[in-house]
Amino acid sequence: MFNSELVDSVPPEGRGVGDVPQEFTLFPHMTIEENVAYGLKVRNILHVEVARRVKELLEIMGIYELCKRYHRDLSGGEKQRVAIARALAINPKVLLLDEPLSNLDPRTGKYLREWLRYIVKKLSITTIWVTHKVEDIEELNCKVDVMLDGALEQVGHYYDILSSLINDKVSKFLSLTNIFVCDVVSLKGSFAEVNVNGLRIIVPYNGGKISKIVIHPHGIVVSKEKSWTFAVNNYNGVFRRSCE
Amino acid sequence: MADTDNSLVDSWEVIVRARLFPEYLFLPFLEVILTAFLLAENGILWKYLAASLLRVLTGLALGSITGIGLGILMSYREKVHRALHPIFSLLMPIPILGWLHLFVLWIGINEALPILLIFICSFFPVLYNTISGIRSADRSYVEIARSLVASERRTFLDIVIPLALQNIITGMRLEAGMAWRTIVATEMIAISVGIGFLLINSQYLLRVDVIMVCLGVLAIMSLLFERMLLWVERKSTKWR
Repeated sequence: MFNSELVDSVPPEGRGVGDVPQEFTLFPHMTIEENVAYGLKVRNILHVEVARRVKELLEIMGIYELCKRYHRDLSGGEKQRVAIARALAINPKVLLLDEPLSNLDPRTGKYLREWLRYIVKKLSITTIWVTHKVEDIEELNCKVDVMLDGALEQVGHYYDILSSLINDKVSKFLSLTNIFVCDVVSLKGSFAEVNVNGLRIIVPYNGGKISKIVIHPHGIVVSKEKSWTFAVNNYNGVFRRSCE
Repeated sequence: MADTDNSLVDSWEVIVRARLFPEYLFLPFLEVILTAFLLAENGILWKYLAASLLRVLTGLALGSITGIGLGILMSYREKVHRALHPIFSLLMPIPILGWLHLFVLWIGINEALPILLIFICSFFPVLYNTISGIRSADRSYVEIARSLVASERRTFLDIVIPLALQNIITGMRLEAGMAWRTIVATEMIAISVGIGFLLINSQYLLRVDVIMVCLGVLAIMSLLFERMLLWVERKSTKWR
């Protein structure tokens, strides 16, 4: 359903979806500007208008200077920007990003994740980001639909999902390893104090029953010095060994 | 290239001076060049070359156009492919000159005969290279073009054909040389104007110099066709 309209009977090309495939799939025989212009050219839009739109998009993507190159001359990140510009050129109702960072090295992926988030906000376009990576979900900080084996398992904000996991399948998918059974000690507004094997931990609370908590590995900071952050849960411990 | 030319002329002169063959069977290089100039000056070389060239070009053009057209049809219509593929698979391995005697009886000895043989010579490779080129064009490009609302016709012209072009031109390039071999053989047997005829006639007249000129012209023409199509192939697939 797009804009309250059923699209089941509409062929994929008629749904107004800007598709950015996993492999980017840039037309290899076209230059970058020809790739971006293609969707406009097949709509018989005036040449001047096509050129203006292509320039505008490539400038937004920060790759205008590459417009005469072929895709073989681009890096993974640049290819992805072209694929997004091509998808956006046709003014889609929805932008579909199919695992956009899966073909990039982690460093480029991290940079592009931030950049994509910025672009999507700037252009105010509804975006569906398909991913298997928890880092994407975590950093995008948006509404998440967890789909497993073709079935929609859980819907909500990432942190809401973490605090109300429906089943083990979802927690396994989200690679949530540090899941502990707990008892609620006290409720203080939007926080709850819980007891995990004798350790008192403050957790966010948005109503409902708390029976398990998740401590995400990324959320744990080990330091020799006293922490000067505003972290709520601080504990002293003995350093035994490090693991690779 | 210049080194190759020099070594060819050097080897040629060594063979001549060593008197490995009688002089009337293996002439000095300069005499062959002189004969080439004489044949060019009196117009015989151009007349015979033009006749052969026209046949080759016509046969290649017709064979390539039909091969590309049918190749497209067979790639997109499975029924057509299933109907024609068994027949073509059976006909393709027949040596080109094997058809000659049948065609002499069917259509007689005229201009259509060498053109038909060159048509067959270029048709099959271009047909199958077109089919394999279209089939090897990645479907994901087609799907993306369709998602950008390109019509089936636009997708075919803008995406499939450019991606299949290298295969198609490679087929034409490989068969250009074969077309020259075919035309010479046909003209030797059945046609009275052309480089092939000049060759067989020179054999009867013991004109080794003319035979050598003809062989040189054939080598140059085959090379020229090959290089021209290679240039077209590179130009049309510069993105690779």
